[in-house]
Parts: sequence; structure tokens; C-alpha cells
Amino acid sequence: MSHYDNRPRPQQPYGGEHHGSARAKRPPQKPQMPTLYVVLIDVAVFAVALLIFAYFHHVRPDTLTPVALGTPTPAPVETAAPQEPSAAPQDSAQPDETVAPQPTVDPATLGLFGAKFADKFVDGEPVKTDTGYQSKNVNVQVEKVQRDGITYYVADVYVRNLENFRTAFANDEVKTGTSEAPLAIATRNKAVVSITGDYFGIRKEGIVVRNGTMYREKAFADIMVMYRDGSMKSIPQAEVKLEELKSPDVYQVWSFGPMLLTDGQAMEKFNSSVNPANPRSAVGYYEPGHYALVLVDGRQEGYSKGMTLKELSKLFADLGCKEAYNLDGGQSCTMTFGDAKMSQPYKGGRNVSDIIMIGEVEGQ
Amino acid sequence: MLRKIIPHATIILATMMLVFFCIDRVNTAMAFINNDITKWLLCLFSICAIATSVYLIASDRRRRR
Repeated sequence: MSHYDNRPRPQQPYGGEHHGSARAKRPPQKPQMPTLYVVLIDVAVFAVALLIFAYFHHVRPDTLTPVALGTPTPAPVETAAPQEPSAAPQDSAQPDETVAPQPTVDPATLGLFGAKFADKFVDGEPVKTDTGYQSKNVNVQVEKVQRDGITYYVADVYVRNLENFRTAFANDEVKTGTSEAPLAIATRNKAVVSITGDYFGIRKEGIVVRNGTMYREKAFADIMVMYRDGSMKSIPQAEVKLEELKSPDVYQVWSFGPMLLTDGQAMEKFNSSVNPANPRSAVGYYEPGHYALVLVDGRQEGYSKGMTLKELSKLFADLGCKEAYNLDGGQSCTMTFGDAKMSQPYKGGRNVSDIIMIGEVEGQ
Repeated sequence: MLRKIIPHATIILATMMLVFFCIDRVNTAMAFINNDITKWLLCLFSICAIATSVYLIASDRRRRR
């Protein structure tokens, strides 16, 4: 084992407490272990320590305990779409055709946007195309863009009810240490379109609120909050106040980041060191009921190199979003549409713990 | 015994911190540094480093007397 002073000191025992006559009393020293063995033992202990760390840090399954956020504040009741001012008085007895049918979901808790975006939805059977889906509850149009060596997908999303915008979990379990292919999660939950979420299951930190239930309270990054009125707000890490998030009005909180827009403007600096071009998934917000899901393919020469955070930020600013937030990227990045992958994930993608999805709701 | 083990513990913990620092630069979202386990390891590392340093200083002073 090591000594702190390697200079030969034959006259003194180890530690140098005695002087002079100590030489005769000095006990015989044990032969030292060869240095190579010492180094190898240290390396082995180091490797074992890393494995133990990894197990407790992100491998060991750990079910997250749901915490009820209370009774939500009633959302605005769906009203007719704004009418152009008219000199003729409105006849209140006439049925207003712009009023959407009454939904069967609880209208008291989630925002309703059917009248606001009445022209986006269709009655009857859903209209499906290779890049679009339109029903009485959901309107999704996916555009594939290729420019400057980058391939990305923008899903323009309108939902009638916020329940159509939700998150789904690997193996239907809200826990760390479990994962599943994004397409499998999306297919099982009948997602119209989906992108990878914040992969909350890979770590023990980060506030997690999903579909109105809080699962974790430890902040660690910029967050994106979706409220029950359909609005979204990204909050810098330094300004996160947990008490404000324990509100029944909070519907989703994602913890990955960084936030990509400030007051709707592109940003130059980000709360992240992962700035180089990479595959990216991100969510953007225009107004309640209208969102953008963006998936950038990357790390594939000749097809797509990926986007830097600055480029992604500018993309959302150009789209006209008010808020935007970066989600789990890299090899995780996958966009599904219907029951197939829309994007081309790096190395085929990998399993994740959650997705953000747009889908129909049974009974709606 | 401790005086022999602690320097090795210091080396191992320091190397772990270096690894965490490097991989955290690549993948911040995994929170390799900003988590409870690493915070406790950092605390342990600090204690080991102090113990090693104190022993080294004391040993050096005794030797110089």
C-alpha cells in the first residue's frame, strides 16, 4: 500500500515518532504488495463502485408515488367561436352551428377548444392521410422538412380537449428503471402522433407531473408546465417554485430542458451543455389547444446531422410558438404517426420511459 | 489500517467524480452530478481528502522535527 513519504528512512519506524535508538526496536516490516497489484485492486474497486452507483442511480426499479394535486379549478366552459360584429341583433333562439357537440369527458377540469378551432375538426369518421389525421377531437398535420443537411418533422396539433394531449408510460408503469420502445407505447395507447418525452425514469431527480398527478418533487432543470386551461409555460431552473407546481391547475410538468424561447424569441444561451448538433425532440406552444411537436433526426451522415439548441430555438421562433421546450434527444428521439415510426431514429432508437402523445379518448 | 485505506478511497472517489463530471458534460439529463448519491459520495470524498491531507501534513511535520 502507499506511503506518503517515499524517501528512505531506515533509522525511523513508519510515521517517524521515535528517534535514535528506535532502530533496534523496529519490528520487521511486512513485504509490500507489488505496485501493479495495488493499482489493479484500486481499479477493480473503482469499477465495482461505479457499478453500484449505476444500479442505485438509474437501474434499480423504483415506483414513483402519486400525489394528488387537489380539485382542479373549473376550466372555461366551451363557448361559440368569436363572431364578426354585426349590426343585426343575434337571435338567441337560433342554434349556433359553431358550438361543438358536448364532450363526454369532464368539462369542469380540462380546457375545451372545440369552438375556438371548430374549423379544424370534422364530424363522423376520422380522415386519415399519410401525414395527417382529422377527427372531431384531434387535428394533426405532420410536415417533413429537409434543409441544410437536417431532416426534421413538425406536427401541427389542435385538440378539442386537453385530455387528447397526454403522456403515456413504458409498460403502463410510472417508475424508474423501466423502459419500452416508443412505438410500442404509442401503439398500445392508440396515439395518433407521439414524440419521446423527458425520460423521467432514467434518473431520480426532476419534477414529474403527468396527466394531473404529481409523481416527483425534486427539481433539477428548466421545466415546462402545461396547465389545465391548455396554456404552457417554461420556467428556468433558478425560478422553479415547487409550491406553485403543487396546484390542481397543473396538468403536466416535464423536466429535461432546456427551455428554448424567452417571450417567444429565440435564445442564444441555454441551461445545458449539450449544445452540439444532435437528434432532438421538443414541444412548442402557440395557444391553448394548439401545439407543435418537433422531432429532429440526427447523427446520420447524408440524411440528417441534427440540430443545435440555437437552431432548434430559432425553428420554434420561426414557427411562431410562444413557448418551447427541449425533451429527451439523441438515440431516444422517435416520432410515431399512427402505428408506425415517422422519423428515422439514430441506430433504430432505444427504449424510453414515456412519450408525449396526441390521441382519442374513449367515450369522447 | 485506516491510514492505508483512506488514500486509496480518496483516489477512487476522486476518479469517480472525474467520470461523473465528464459524462455529465455529455448527458446532463442523466443528472450524474446533481443527485443525492453523488452528493453523499462528494461528502465522503471530502472527508477522505481532509483525512489524507491532515495525516500527510502531520507526518511531514513529525519527520522534520
